[in-house]
Amino acid sequence: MNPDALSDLVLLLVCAAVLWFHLRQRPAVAMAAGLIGLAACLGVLRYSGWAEMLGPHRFTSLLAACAAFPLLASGLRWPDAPLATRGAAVGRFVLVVGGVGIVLTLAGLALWSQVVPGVCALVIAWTAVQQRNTWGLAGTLALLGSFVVAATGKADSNYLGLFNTVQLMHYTLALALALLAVGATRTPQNQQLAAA
Amino acid sequence: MTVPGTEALHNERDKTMNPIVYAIPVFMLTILLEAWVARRRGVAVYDIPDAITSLHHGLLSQVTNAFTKIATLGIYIAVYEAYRFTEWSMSSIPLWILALVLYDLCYYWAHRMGHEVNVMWASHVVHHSSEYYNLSTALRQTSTGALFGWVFYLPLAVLGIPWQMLVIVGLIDLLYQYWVHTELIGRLGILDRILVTPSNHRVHHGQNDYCIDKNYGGILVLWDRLFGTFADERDDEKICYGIRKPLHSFSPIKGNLHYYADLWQMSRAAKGWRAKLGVWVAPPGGWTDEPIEHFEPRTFTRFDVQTPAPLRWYVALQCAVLVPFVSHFIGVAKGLDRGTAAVYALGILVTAVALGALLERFVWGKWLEQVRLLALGVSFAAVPQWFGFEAPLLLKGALLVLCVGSVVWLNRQAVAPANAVGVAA
Repeated sequence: MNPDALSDLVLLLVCAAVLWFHLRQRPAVAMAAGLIGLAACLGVLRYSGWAEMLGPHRFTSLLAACAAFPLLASGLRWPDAPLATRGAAVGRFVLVVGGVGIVLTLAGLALWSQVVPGVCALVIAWTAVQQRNTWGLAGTLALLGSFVVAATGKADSNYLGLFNTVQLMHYTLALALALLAVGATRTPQNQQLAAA
Repeated sequence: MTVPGTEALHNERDKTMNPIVYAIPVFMLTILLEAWVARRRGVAVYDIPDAITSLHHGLLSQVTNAFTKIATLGIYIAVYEAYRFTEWSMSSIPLWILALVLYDLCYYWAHRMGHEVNVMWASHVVHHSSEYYNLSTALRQTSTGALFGWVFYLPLAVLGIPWQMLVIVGLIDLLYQYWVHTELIGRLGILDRILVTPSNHRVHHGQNDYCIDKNYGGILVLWDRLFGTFADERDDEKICYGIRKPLHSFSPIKGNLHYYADLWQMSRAAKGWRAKLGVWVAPPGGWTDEPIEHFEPRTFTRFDVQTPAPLRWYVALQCAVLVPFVSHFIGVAKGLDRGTAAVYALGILVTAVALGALLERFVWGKWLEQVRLLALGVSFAAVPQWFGFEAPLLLKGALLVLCVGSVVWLNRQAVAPANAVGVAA
C-alpha cells in the first residue's frame, strides 16, 4: 500500500471508530464521520491504483465538504436539537445541504466547498471556547490545519520531509476528528450526566 | 443556471419528442374505460370535478416540466461528466435491468422523503389530495417536483448511468405506476408482495391509521419490505383516500401551493432562526414520538360543492379541448423561446384556474372563463400560426364558434357560490 492510500486508510479507520462510538448518542457526529469515512474508503481504492475511483472519491469528498462539516458543527454546537439527536433529521440535512452544495459547486461557485468547512471550523472553535473544552479546541486547530493544507498545498509540496499534501491533509483531518469526537464526550452536559 | 455538459442534452432534445405526448391519448382512453366499467359495476370511483382537477394538475405538471427538465437533467449530466465511476453500455440488457432496479431504489427514497420531509411533502401532497382513487389520480402530479427530487438520483450519475438511460428507466418507472391507481383490480396474490400493485398502492393513498407512511415503492414493493414500510391491504377496514387536512378546492394553484403556505405560516410563527428553518425539514407531524392522531373512517365525507350537472359537463368539455393544446405545448416548448413558452404556459394555467373556479361555483370564475374564451377564440382565429402550428381554416372557425357559443351559454348560467357539502365515502 502506498503512503497516500495509507493516509486515507488511517482517516477511514478513525471515521469508523467515531461512527461506531457516537452512532446511538450523537447521530450527527456519527454521520459526519460516516460521510468523511465513505470518501476516505473510496480514496483508499483510488490511491491503491483503481483509477475509476477518482470520480466517486472526488464526489464524496465534495459531499463531505458541503454536508459533513456543517453536520459536525451543528451536532457539537446544538447537542440537544433534533438534528443532533435524530437519525432521520441527520439524513434530511445531508440531502438538503449536500444537494445545495453540489449544485452551487457545479454551477461554478467552487469556493463554496472551501468556505463552508471554514465557517464550520469557526463555529466549532467558538463552541469549544465557550465550553472550555480543551479536546475540542485541539481538534479545531487540527481541523483548521487540515483545511489550510488542503487549500494551499501543491501537488509537489513536502512537509517536514515526511508527507505530501494529500497525506498531511488526511492525517490532520483524522487527528481533528478523533479529538473532536473525544471532546464531544467532555461537554458540560456529559460531565453532569457522568457525575449523576 | 448553466451547467457544463448540457449541450448534448439540448441537441438531443431538439431531435426527440417527449414520449408523454404519445401517452396522453392512452391515459384519456383508459380513464374513460375505467369510468365506464365502474359505472357498469355500480361502483362510485369517479367524480367529474375531482377527475378534472386531477387532469389539470397533470397537465400543469407537464407544462412546468418543460421549463425545469433542462435544469434538473443538467445537474445530473454535470455530475455524470465530472464524477462518474464508469460508463454503462447502452446496448447491454442486464445493465438496463440493473439501472431500472437502482432507479426504483432511488425512487423509493425520493418518494419516502416526499412524505417525511415537510418541504418535499408540500410538493408531493398534490398527488394525495384527491379523495377518490382512480386512474385520473395517477395523473394528479405536482408542478414543484423539480425542487428536490433530482438529489436522490445523483448516485446513479456517479455510478455512471448515462442520462438517456436514466430518462428511459425513469419513464418506465413512472408509466408502470399509472395502472396501479384503480379500485377495480383486487388482490393479485403473490404479486402483491413483490411488485407495487393496485392493492398495496391503495394502502399508500389511504388516510386510515394503518395506511400512513406505508408502501412507497415505485415498481418493486420489496423495498418497503426491506426498509420496514410495508403494509398489506385490510379486508376489515374500508380505505378512505386523501389527506388528513383536506384540500377542499378544485384550484390547481391552491392544490400546488397550499402546504407551502402552511409551512410559511408555521415558519413565521416559530421562534428563532433554527426553529424557522427546522419547520421546512421536519416531518409533517413535527418531531414527535407520539402516535399519529386517530382517523375514523366511518365519519369520513368527501368534498363536494354540488356543482350543477350542466356546468360539470361544460368544464369536462373545455378540459377535453385543453388536452390537445397542452400536448401541442409539450411538443413545441423546446423550440420556443422562454418568453413565448411562458405566454403559452400562462394561457394553459389561466384555463385550469378558470375551470376549477367554475367547478367551485365562484362568480369570478364565470367572468374569467368568458374573458379566456374570447381571448382564445379570437387569437386562435386571427394569428397566422398558433405557436408554430398552422391551423386549417375549418379548425379556426370551429374553435371560434365553440368559444363564442360557450360565452353565450355561460352568460345564461346562474353561477352562485355554495357551501361545501360532504358526501359519504
